[in-house]
Amino acid sequence: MSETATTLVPNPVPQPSARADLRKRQTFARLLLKNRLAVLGLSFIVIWTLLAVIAPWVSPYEPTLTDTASKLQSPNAAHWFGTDNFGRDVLSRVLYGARISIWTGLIAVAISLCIGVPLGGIAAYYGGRLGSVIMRLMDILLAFPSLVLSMAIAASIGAGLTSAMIAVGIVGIPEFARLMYGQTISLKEKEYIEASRAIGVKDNVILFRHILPNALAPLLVQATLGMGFAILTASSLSFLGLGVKPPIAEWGAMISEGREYIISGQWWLVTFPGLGIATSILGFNLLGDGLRDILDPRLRSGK
Amino acid sequence: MTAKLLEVSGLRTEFVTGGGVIRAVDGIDLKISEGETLGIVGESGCGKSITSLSIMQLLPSKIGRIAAGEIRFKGEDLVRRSGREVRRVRGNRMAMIFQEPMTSLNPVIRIGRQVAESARYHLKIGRKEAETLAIEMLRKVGISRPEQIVKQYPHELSGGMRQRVMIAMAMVCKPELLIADEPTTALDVTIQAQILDLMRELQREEGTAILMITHDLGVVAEMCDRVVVMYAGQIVEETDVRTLFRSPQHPYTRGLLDSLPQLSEGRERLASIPGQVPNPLELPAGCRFAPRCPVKMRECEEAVPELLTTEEGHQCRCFLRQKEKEAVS
Repeated sequence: MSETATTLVPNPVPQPSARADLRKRQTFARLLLKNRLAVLGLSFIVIWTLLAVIAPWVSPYEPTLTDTASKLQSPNAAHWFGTDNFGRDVLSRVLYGARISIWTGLIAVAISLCIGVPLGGIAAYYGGRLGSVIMRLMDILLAFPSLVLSMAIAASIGAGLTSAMIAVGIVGIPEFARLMYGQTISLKEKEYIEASRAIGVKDNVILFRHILPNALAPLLVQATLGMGFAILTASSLSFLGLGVKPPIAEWGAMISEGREYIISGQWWLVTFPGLGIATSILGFNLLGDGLRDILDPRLRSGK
Repeated sequence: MTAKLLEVSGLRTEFVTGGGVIRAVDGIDLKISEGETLGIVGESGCGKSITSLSIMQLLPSKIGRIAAGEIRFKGEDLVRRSGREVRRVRGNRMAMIFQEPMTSLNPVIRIGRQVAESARYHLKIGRKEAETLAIEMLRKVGISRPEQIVKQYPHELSGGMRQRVMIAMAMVCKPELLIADEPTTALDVTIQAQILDLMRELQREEGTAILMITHDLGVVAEMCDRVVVMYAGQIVEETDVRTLFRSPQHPYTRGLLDSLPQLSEGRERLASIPGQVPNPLELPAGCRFAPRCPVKMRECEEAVPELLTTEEGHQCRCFLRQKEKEAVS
């Protein structure tokens, strides 16, 4: 890249940092905007997040308001997405469901990150027996199918939204631990890490203030992809009755309740929450893939 | 005689590899006085860098270890100190400049924080003070507009500027000993001269002793007071810089000097020392330089020569010199 070319000039006049920063940010934004799929993904995420935030103001009805007189109505002017078996407005429930799903995704990914990253970093940085023990534990977690493991964890803590978040978070830990492990293994051999040891920096400071910032890009990609996975798994848990308790609106739970009515022709009960799950996960996956494409080559040539 | 700042005696550093134990540094002694510059020269793989890493206690902990010897910094043996005690010395009283300025700065941390980092640990100063100190240090190493540079990232700087930043980082706590491991190898010749000038200037101001590790005899001639020539993990010759260039005694040193380009001679090809540094797993039984030595004798392949004082302040590890000396006396 252009940076490496300028380094050959003996005494170059450096760019004023504000302008250089701005330029860097502009390139990042431009690269992101050039990636059509990433833009599509980002717009899904932005729309769902926005809808989740403004749900109380835009929802036409209370999500838990039952109206048996108008139950199982197909989509119409009064109920755009129809009504369910209790006469609740499906549109309002989908909008409120977005709040729960996105919130669950955020908390679950935060749990995975906060536990997985330090574990992987410590395992790689100190290595030896400690490292092996940590990484073998991660392998054990990975060996179980993720849904089965999250079911087991959720069931053992007791069904509920919080336990679903914790369960999904725990299941996500090994992915982050392994990613951080690999990053740390290669970064700790870098000369600048040795240089910071040579000026007497403590190990934990090196790990979290020198190595971690260098590993952020792949972690960010993984976190974005992990959001999709977390939303899906949390919805699956709710579908199986291990997540939120009725009557709270949640996409997985809505599909679970509505599935009996597919055969009798009331398709709108499952279709709209299903689309909610599909588009939000698609959004996170597309954005994650896009970010991976954008961030990886930049980081390599940036050195 | 000034006080000894660093005394290394009988240092032996070993690496455990799949093929066996490699003795990368095999019993070397070094002495550096305050404010002095000692050069270590030798080919790649002769143990120069391992010596410096051993002194800093920065050997890769899984495979490298100091098997024997003492490293006394102001009388304290660093080999037998705990990690925390060594850390207190490292960066504070003893600092190091690395070979590759392009890879020795963390790409995601701003220059200012990297320069001030050791000061923040060792001098326990706050963020604001640290930034002021970083700016002051960068100005001292000849970087213009340091107020802006502290906010920049390493990739925005040129190689020469990065090496200046590295020097600023190393000098920020005013160490008594600066270890420079090939500080100019990765730089253009013009920048090399500037960097060497800068190091000399800082040395004069702060009275820092420098351990200069290099394979460039030009750098040695320009910078050093005394020189140690290393070959295959051992010291083969040690003397002051004038004597080394005027009357080198060891055949290896002569070979090194002969392979320098001479302006006056205008030879087509440069002289070189035939052969390669021996594999550290299969060292020759006798003198380690014997397989490549132009003046090899029979005993060179049978016995290992000692490092003996041949003249006042001049040591050499060669049977030929020993014989000459015996003949004289």
